[in-house]
Amino acid sequence: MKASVLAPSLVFVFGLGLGLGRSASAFPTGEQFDGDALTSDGGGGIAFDGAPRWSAHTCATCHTDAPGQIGIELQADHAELFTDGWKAGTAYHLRVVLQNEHEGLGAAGLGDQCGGALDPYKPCDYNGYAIELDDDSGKPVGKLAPVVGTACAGSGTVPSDVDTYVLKDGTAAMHNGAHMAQTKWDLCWTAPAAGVGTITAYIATVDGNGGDGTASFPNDTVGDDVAAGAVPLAESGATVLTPQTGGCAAAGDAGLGLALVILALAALARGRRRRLVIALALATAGGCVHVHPRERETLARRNMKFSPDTTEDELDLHMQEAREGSEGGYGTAGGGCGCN
Amino acid sequence: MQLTRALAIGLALLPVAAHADSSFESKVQVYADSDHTQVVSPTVQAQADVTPETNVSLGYVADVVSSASVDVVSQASKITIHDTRQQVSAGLAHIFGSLTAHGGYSLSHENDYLSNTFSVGIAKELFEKNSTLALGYALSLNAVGRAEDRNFSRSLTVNSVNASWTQVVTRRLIGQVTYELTNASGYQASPYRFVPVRASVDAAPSEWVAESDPDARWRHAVVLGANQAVGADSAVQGDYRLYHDTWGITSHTLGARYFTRLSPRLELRLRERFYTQGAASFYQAVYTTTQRYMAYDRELSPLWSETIGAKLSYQFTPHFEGELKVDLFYYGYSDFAPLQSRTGTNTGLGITLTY
Repeated sequence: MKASVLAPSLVFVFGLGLGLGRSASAFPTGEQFDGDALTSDGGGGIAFDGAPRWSAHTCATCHTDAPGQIGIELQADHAELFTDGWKAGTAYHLRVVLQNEHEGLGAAGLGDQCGGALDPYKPCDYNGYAIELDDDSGKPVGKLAPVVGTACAGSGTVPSDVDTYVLKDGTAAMHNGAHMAQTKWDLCWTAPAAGVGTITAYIATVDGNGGDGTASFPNDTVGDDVAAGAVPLAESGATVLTPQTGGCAAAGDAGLGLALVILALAALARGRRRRLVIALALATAGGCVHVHPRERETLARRNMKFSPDTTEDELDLHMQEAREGSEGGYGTAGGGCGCN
Repeated sequence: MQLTRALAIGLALLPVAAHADSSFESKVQVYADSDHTQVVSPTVQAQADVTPETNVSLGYVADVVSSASVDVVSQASKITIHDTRQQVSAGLAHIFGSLTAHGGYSLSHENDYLSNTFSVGIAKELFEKNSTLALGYALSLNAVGRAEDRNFSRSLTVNSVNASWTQVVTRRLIGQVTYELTNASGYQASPYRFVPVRASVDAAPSEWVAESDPDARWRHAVVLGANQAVGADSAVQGDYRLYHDTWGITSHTLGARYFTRLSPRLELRLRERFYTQGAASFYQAVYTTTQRYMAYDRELSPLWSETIGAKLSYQFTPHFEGELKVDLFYYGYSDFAPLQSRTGTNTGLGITLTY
């Protein structure tokens, strides 16, 4: 399947670092996720994709101090997956895209021609991902499979150059290390039977920096970048999906429209009526809109801040206020998205 | 040349929030317009988290001015003036759970103006951090002088309160409404500007009298803003300000900014700003007789302006960023005889280190 027929989805997220040391090793192959943590330096069957069953642990659990500059995009061959929702039994061709790769770019041009097989050693641009799709109770649903050619892999042996691995219990998929410098991974997901309701895709990616540049640590957990996020997918024909919880009319895309209507009414109303409308606007905004902290990755971006460059703003304000009769109103910044 | 007041107030109202990292910025902006005014403004700003909850900041900015504006030419001394303003500032912010408190001080000095500004504020997160209420207060004490005239001494006190409500609307949309009330009490005219009394715009002045503005001015400003994420990593920001003061000026300001990534390391920002205002109630293009309040100030006349600009930010490393910006602006004056318009540029270079 060509990438052009995949419909772009709606997620762009950044990860946060937690703390382990340099000696920790990443999981360059998917099988290592299944490996025992003590005997084979494996993940013990944990996908680290941010799903609730893993206590929201992501790749950032080990890949520490990530600068959070990469993003994720989820694409699907059926665009209606993100608009109308998933349909029971449908096989979706999904693509996880790592955006804004910036680590290990020096090795990206080498492709697979890197690593210990070369003399002298050349580091690899080793990236990875993990994904699972859970119902509201946090249980993985549907069936995951690698893509072979343009079809979902069956029960047979998957060719070694297919860069997706599915956990032995079938609950999550991730890279299998077949290729270096990968920023796109394809997989199949067959939706479950009807009646499951909203399903959330939990995704995490790692932008590897090539380890410490030596064969000793070809893919350590230091200096990499990480992103993680969640994409809710409504069930087709069920209640319209709202990314926020709380059951408010102000949530989702309706929020902007409602807010604009309220502000327009406030601008038109006079006296007591205006104060009432403004009070209603604040009550509506504050009491009804709930965006959870884990859903604020986009809001945490610098370009979503009201004053992303305060130093420049101060200089510009000075220039404007010295040349115009008005001043005030721009010096105050509220707390933004409340992500800190 | 008095430059202090506006910037001192502006800085006082910009709260210093505790950040997740520390940073050092060095920038320089160069302003040049067709009215023969050039201003070079170097600045350095540094902030650091001294504890996970406490952030301290220090700043320095200077304005090096060279001007032969009509403001200057219209007064007695028809020369190009050179002046320098310097300002130092310090801020402290501390996080108490969901409450952030901050305070700041700035000292601004030039040869005929001294300003001390104190500011405090709080920001409280509400509704599971979906909303933020911020309140602030600033006091600016200004001593106004006149170059080569030690007998001229005036004062200006500015009190300002502001409140803002920031609201997470969706995962990709934030809104904000801000109100600011400012009271300025004291000398607010220019000690260098003199107003011609004449029969018509073209007539020779019968006399020149010192500019006189009312001592009291209440300013009201309401700003509505929204930030909307677009696509994978772009964003659109828009804001509108309605302003009114007791001198009779009403203004409207529309601003828009678009951010997008041209590559993983290169970000482009496009901006647009439109501004229009009416005249102060006592402003006249021609004063045929002396009056209590008289101004020869284009900033109190009807005017409009348009600014467009672009800025490129390049991330050399995750901790080192450089930027280049260019703004082009136009000001039109419909009722100010000495000047009908001016155009100009505002260019800037800067680096930011974060760690």
